[in-house]
Amino acid sequence: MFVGNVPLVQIRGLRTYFYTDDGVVRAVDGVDLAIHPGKVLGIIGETGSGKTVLALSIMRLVQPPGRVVEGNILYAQGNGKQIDLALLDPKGRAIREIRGKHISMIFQEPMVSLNPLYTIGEQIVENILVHQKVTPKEARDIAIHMLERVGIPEPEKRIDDYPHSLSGGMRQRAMIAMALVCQPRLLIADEPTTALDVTVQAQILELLKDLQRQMGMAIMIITHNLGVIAEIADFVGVMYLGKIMEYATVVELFENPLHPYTKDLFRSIPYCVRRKNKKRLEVIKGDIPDPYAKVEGCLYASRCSWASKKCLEDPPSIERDTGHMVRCWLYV
Amino acid sequence: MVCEMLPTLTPLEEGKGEQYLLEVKGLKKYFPLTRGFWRRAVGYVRAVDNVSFFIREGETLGLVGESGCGKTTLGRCILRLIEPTAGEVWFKNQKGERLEITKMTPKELKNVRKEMRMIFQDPFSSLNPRLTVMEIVGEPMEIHGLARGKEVEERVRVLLEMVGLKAQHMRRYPYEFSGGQRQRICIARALASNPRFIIADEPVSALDVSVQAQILNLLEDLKEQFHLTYLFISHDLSVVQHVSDRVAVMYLGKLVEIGDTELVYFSPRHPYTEALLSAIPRVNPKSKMQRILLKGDVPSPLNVPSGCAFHPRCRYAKEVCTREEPILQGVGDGRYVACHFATELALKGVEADVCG
Repeated sequence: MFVGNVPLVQIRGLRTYFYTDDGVVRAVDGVDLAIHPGKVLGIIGETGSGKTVLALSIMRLVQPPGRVVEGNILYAQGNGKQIDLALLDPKGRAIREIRGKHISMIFQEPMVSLNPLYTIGEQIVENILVHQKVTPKEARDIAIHMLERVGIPEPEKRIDDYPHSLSGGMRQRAMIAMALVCQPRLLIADEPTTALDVTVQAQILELLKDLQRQMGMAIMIITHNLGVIAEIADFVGVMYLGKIMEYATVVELFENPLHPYTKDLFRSIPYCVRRKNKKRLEVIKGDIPDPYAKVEGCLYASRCSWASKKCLEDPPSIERDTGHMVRCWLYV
Repeated sequence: MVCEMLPTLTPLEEGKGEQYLLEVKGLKKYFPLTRGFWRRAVGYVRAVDNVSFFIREGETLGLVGESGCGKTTLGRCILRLIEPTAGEVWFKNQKGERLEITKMTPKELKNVRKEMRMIFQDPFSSLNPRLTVMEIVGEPMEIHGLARGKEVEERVRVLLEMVGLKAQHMRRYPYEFSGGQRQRICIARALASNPRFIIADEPVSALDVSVQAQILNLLEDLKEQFHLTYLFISHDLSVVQHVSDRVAVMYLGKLVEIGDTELVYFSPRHPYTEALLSAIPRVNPKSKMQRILLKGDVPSPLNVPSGCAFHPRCRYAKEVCTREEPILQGVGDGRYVACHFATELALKGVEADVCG
């Protein structure tokens, strides 16, 4: 559908702040990212890094006291025009046209995001009827077909089930069916497998990969699990306290991580090794700084073992060859 | 109905009189499913079904399995936080006496619980929000009469510093701490009564990667320092691999494989273990290993399939698997496997370094 390197979504200098009574939380603080059509962008980050708020900002679902205060989210519409999602009224017609139809989202905990009072069929059909000109009967057929595609057995029966009667993995499949039923061009998946067992996680990842290949959509997947990123992503952004610290292709990032945070993260997870090679886990010292605190200079400096005087100033974002971006004074 | 089911002993006792710290024999926990006004039992959920294993002094036994397989229930039955339906739990106490936990009076139980403690998964819900850290950590000492008055404060101070917290924070409440710090409080509380055996039920699952490493290292250090023995329950296979000397794999309330970590991970003997290991995401974008995708979900423990409970999802299943239930049998290398074809199948383990 696209020619050349026009990104599907181009994020520039995005800032989303929460104005609470206790102070301002800079959840997303100057993020630049591109999501390319048909590719998978992975975002790694720990709790409080702002990765979920980034996703919600693209969907314009950030609730007060939070709001997008600055930046652009340029979305390339199918007709060759770009539209800045950051300027749209979050409750307006224009964003509602896009949300759910062009860009949809799946969440971490499917039990929380499905309405327990409606059958999964009703919830999927609602989405179809809002965005497509079909009769309820046709919508139901589309829904059944979609449930079948995401691997739910006996979809004709399952469509009338309530969320509570499905298992965790099946619920996540139903969520995916609901998100994909309008053939979106971008799927945002926020920790889609975190609540699931490894075996089910493997199933869901395979399913996402398959559907992505068939539908040619772009995916932005948010997770704290490095393994999940390695499995599915093409490009990776490492997020820490609202900023992208490093961005590269997945192979480049795993083979040649540059930022101290990325390096520390890789070293702190347990790998399956032979007993004779077993080492103590390396630990990142300290905790993530308080979100209300305004950190001067590099955000990671307080925990970084390479930190120097220079880190009291905000590091620039350096682009190395092959599009590898890193925000650290070590590479200036 | 339940009373008829006597614990059947498995060949785990061939330990030649070795004195284990903990020995579990034929442990069962059936939860009745009741219906109607008279709460008539219409069926049983076999959460833990005839489980036998042992833990040597000073070792860490990892217990893995998918959610709903009964690993938490098993951990709680050992401490009798849930009453087991049948079976025996033998514990060797400080004086070297072997005690049977399931037949203890409440008083005896209180005494032995001093030595057996538990760390829970969620550090947010397992701490009383209305108590200060001092009260939380000091409580076990007072209950077991280990310290009184000023002494308690002194010991709490020492414990907090040992788990990496600042002693001057002991007047604070749990909400003032981060997730990792709270888990440290839970650990300090568990250590307060000088235990010898700790059941850690998913102690790092609720934590971030960077904090997880801190807690795992802390548990390792404390083990050295206090000569602890752990039963480490987790669904995270790489974490279990990292901490355990031996691993037990559980499926639908039963142990399917138990043995040395190295053997279980690198040359599994049970098809379920193989499938579980192959599902670990690989931390190497270039890895191209074919994954064994298990079909469907774990069956409901209400209707456990006939024969081998794993047979509907097993790719090696033969006719005999649908009929006969395999028992946990030794296969030589100190390992026990519940599969008819344990010695015949050539199964694949994890590849070193790529799984995380």
